[in-house]
Amino acid sequence: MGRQNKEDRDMIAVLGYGCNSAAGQGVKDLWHSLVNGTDNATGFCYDDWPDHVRAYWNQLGYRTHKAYFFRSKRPPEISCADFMVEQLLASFAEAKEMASCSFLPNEKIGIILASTKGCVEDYVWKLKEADNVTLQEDLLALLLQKFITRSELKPQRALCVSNACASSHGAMAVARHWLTNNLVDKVLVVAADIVGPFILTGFASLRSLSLTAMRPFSAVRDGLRVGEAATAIILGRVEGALDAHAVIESVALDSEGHAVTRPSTDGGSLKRACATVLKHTTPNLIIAHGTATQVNDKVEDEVIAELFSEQSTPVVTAAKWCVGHTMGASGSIDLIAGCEILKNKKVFSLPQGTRIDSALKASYVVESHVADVERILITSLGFGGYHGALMLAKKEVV
Amino acid sequence: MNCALRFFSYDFTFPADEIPQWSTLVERWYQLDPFSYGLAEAYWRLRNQMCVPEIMFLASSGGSFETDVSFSNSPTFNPAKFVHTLPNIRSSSLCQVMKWHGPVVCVQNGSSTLTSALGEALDWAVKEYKNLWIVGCQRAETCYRAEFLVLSTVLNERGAYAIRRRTTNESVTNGDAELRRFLRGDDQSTSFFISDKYEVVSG
Repeated sequence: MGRQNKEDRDMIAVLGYGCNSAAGQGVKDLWHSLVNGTDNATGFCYDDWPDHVRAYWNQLGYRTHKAYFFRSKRPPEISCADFMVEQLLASFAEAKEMASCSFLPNEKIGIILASTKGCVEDYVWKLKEADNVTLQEDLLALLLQKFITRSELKPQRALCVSNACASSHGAMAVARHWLTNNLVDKVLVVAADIVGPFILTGFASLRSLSLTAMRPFSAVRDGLRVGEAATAIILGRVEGALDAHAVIESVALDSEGHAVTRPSTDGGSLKRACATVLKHTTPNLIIAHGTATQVNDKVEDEVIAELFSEQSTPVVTAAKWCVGHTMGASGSIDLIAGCEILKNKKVFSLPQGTRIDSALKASYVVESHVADVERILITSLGFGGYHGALMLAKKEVV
Repeated sequence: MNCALRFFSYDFTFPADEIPQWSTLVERWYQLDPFSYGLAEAYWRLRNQMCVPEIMFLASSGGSFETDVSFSNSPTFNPAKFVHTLPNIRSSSLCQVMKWHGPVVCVQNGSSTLTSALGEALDWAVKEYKNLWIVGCQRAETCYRAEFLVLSTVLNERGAYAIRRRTTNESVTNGDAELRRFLRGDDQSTSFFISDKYEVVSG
């Protein structure tokens, strides 16, 4: 990987990664759940929610709703911010162990936090609208600063990216820019979101939560389930990265002015983002955003069908049925899942027994199987018309 | 390097007291939160003075916290409010009014959000893009304020400010408050350190 042409310089290496999710603490737990078809959703108690929130939840009929939570529960005396930092530190430790290179003292490091709501649950229920709120602290910046302090890293650059459910893709785009322009030597992308009454009531108000199970691209899909996750991905330049686990060949973002909560029906923005990363390469596999809502899955399917001819359409899978829609961390979870596919030469399927919607045109993975995948297209769609596409590749093929 | 910077700001009150001229361009404009409304309204009024961007950096200092509290206090949890509890959402109405699409990166960095977004945009301007915007909207003392920082590396673009590489190594401690004072001409400085590499110089 010592070439010096432009394409090399635009690529970045995945040096190590770690995660914590409803599947468990660590990448192994995530991978085992994905290939074994384990749905890690659990019911939850909401007795300690504020009264008006609990009443609303009961009124909507979501008593049996499930979500995806970290295996270890937050002790009540620990704030959400500190709890999230603990999960991120654990994921970072795993990523460091996987990356055979550590952060050297003379290296310039960048850190990017991808999150949608950060530690909002610590604050939002304590204030009334009449308090004339002027937030003095930025909740994401606060989270990032806590992480930096506890990690003892000394970054030259640090930033929070909040592109809704495409936050991880946004963070990867910034990381790629920093690395390919030699602004830093390594970038640590951390991503986290947690599930609490704010997020649950919000999605419930949109009527987008599933009353049954999360079944992306299924004929009977009825919505999503939210999930908690904390991830850490160490990225570096391709040249000299002998121990890279995978390579991010390209990342593209596109935002459209269509509607706030749904993509345009023709998927124009997602198509543009995907077309950018498909300029020179074709994937064997797509890890779709796959939120199991009627709109999202239909639009993704349309875009895939338009981008690829029938003969060359890659097969499509998704991971959210296993660990939930982890919001700001979802793109990172998909990237980690993609790295594990490349490493293990195995593709995980959609939930076992999925009957694919006959109206959809793409080919979907309904059974986990052995496959030596070379390239994976990973997509994200976020509220506000934000879209991300990323091409992940085995280092041997770039 | 050749890079010009222009700064626009627009103060407004919310709720709006009349139907905006761009109302037909934004679905349910009357459900927008102040930040989403403000960016759209500000663009509409300033649009003839600004070039079309290739990329936008949305500086959302404080995230969407004001709207978060509003949502959490609403007796019926209005979904129209929930959708605005993401700091990036405020660019959606702007994109609709502009009829624009392209990459948008929504950044937060506490009291240095605007400064960080500008520093980030400068790096991207030098390497990849010719016309970039940094946009933000915040609550000011008695109103709300939308801000547009327009960067251009097109040589015939003239701006109130020029960007140049720094020649000194002093560490940067400036935050958004200082940047705003400089851009509004409220202090006597002729230059402002954005990052360890760049400074903004009065034209």
